[in-house]
Amino acid sequence: MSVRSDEACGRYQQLAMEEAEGKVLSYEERTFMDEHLQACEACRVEAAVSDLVRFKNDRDGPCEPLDELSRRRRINDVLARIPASTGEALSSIPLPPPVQAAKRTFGRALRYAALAAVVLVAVGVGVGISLLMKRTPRRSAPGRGAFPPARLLLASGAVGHNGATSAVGSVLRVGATISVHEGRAALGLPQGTQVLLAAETTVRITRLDRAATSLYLERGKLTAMVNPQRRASRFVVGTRAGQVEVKGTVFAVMVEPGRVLLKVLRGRVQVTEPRTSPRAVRRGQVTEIREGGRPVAELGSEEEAAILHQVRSLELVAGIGAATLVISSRPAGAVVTVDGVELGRTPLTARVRPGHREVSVRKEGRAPVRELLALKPGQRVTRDFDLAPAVTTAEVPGASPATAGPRAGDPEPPSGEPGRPFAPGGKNGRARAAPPRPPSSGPSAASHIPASPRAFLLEARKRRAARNWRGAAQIYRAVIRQFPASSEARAARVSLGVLLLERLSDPAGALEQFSRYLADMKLGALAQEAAYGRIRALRKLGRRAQEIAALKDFLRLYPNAFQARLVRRRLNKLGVKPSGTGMGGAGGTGGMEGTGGMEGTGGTDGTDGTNPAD
Amino acid sequence: MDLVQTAFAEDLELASAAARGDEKARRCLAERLFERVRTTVHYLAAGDRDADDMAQLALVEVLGAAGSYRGECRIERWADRIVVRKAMRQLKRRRFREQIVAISDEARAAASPDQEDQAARRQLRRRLAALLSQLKADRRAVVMLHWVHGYSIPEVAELTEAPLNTVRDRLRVAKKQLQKAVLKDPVLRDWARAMGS
Repeated sequence: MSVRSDEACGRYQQLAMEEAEGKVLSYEERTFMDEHLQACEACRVEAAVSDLVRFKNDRDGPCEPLDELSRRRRINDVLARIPASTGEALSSIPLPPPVQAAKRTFGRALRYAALAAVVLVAVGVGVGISLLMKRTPRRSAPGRGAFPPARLLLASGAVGHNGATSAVGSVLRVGATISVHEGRAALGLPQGTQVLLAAETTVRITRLDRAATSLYLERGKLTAMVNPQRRASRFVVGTRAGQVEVKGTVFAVMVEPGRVLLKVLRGRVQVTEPRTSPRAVRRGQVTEIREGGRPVAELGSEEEAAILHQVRSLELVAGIGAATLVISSRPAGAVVTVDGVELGRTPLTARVRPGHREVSVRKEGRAPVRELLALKPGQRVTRDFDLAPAVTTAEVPGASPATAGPRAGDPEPPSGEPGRPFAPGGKNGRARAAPPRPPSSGPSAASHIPASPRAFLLEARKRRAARNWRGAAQIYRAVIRQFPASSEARAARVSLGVLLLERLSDPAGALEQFSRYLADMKLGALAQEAAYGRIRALRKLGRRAQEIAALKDFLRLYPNAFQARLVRRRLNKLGVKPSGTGMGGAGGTGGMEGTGGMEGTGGTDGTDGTNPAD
Repeated sequence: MDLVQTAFAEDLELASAAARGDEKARRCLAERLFERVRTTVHYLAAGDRDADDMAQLALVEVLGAAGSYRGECRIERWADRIVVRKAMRQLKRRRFREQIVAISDEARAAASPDQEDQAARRQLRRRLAALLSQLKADRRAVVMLHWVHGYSIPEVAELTEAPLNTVRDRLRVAKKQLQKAVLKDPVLRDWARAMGS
């Protein structure tokens, strides 16, 4: 890039900055910016990127849209965590500005005085303690202070601690040997480090103090997620072939009969082998630990995915503030997944992070069971599931062999009974997967359509991504027909309505879908979208009187919705004064323009990514 | 003050009701802010798989602080300030985990095919969010607030409680870094060229 071009870029950046600060640019300045953009690729890239990330719509982000169930679950979780009353809004205590200012000044002075007092007290206490320390003999380093012990966070299958069966939550001290015969276990170590032990693994805790946390892996496989360690603190895993030392990383060590393998997913570890100088192994590398050292190789994508899956299990379990989940099943040995992450097999006990969790239990040849649990900190939740025999593929409507039954290792377990996505636990905590519904007529493309309502929606989404609007509509209709009581079917109604309205030029069909959703779910999570869709459908059909009534209804129910501004504008255009909407456009959420379809042809790509059924 | 209060009276009423413990008001506020908070945190957390949990915590903080909303600006703007601070605090505590996820996101983003499609744009944004994660946290916050939410530089200075010149400097450096990173990224570079031509 030439000097001249650099200067031009500098001026462009300066003007862009001034514009961002609110300055109105002159005609010459604006012309210069436009011309510079034509000529300079770097600035053009910047402009394109800033346009890409510009927040035009609430859901216009980098994240995948949540399905309605997850969205509602998260909002419920948020609401459950807020204390009953958080106090009155400040403005509801009216104070004239001078008094407020005086109060603030007084408050500030009070805070400074309090701060000074605290500092003085702290200095005094510090001096006192140092004097005391000089007089009392110093104790040995490992025993000094209350260093947190290790704890067992997850036990699935047979997990032993010093030869006896170990309970989840039990304290593990130096010298403890943890053996996992079958299933898996997770340990919580100081400084937030967690390790996952696979089946046939034996680990001994060799050191647990401020200077180091050290484990010895006798056999089996250990995956560690190590939080960055404090200064002068080490995390070491020893094996018969050498030791691995880390500062903060994710890695797996495997002691196999013939070799010891190390795989590093994240960070950097130092390997020390006999008669060899220490060497570093970096992220994405795998190596064998042995005398003399071995060259490193790249970690395969499958190995990486496997470690990542284990990391997810570790992230789900927690030491402090966790809830204890005890899951058993008849027959035993069923795979337990929590929020889609496989934790182990029944009988299983785990200390899980609190919140709304979706627990699913599945076993080959048995109907899977799912249940939503609201876990509170410190709570112990016990579930015993009776797994009924599964139906064969032929009995499930529209099921293909690949999707009909549960398979070990499925990342997304298929839902339970069609039409009843969740098998609630009931008062006694027992749940039973009910027999499936009788076969019903499926859509014409039955062989390609999966059995669970969620899978239907995924299929519809794929078709929409391929711009196969009719195909997507067909899937939405199928899910409404086959699983009429499911939440997915309700979401599909709204999605179908949007599709019919925007892509398939069928406002009458769209109106029917929106109206039926509103009839069933007046206060449903998608009621706002359905109500707005209904308005647009009525407008396209030219039903003026009904449209006005719907517009007024919308404003009454959702005065702060992002569509409210457009609704008010439409009412004004129709010559109707919006009632009870004194805020006009200012009450809206601003910055949401261009998302709706009240003007022109009525919403095109702007609404595409916000499909309710996704 | 009266004028300001009138302009955001509905927001203020909603926040007051939520602070008093009105369930409906709380739900309404949570529904209204949920996606905005989620998007903000996802940009800041750069594709971290825990971003949704972080967004949830940020929303808890926003709703818990409803009583401190004075109606001096839109409630979204007031919430942005809390969310940015909360998310940045959490990110500072657990930086290495976000980087683990950047790997998997990279792998997914490589498959983005159709630029017309919303999903493809989301992939591009995610790719860009991964580049954003390479910026220092304070620079990332400035870029995010200025570009994503469209706040002016003085507003960003106010939101991040940083001097105006510091914000200007952060933005300048961040833009330069991001520009270089985008030009090195084959997918984003081709896309940006296609957009500019």
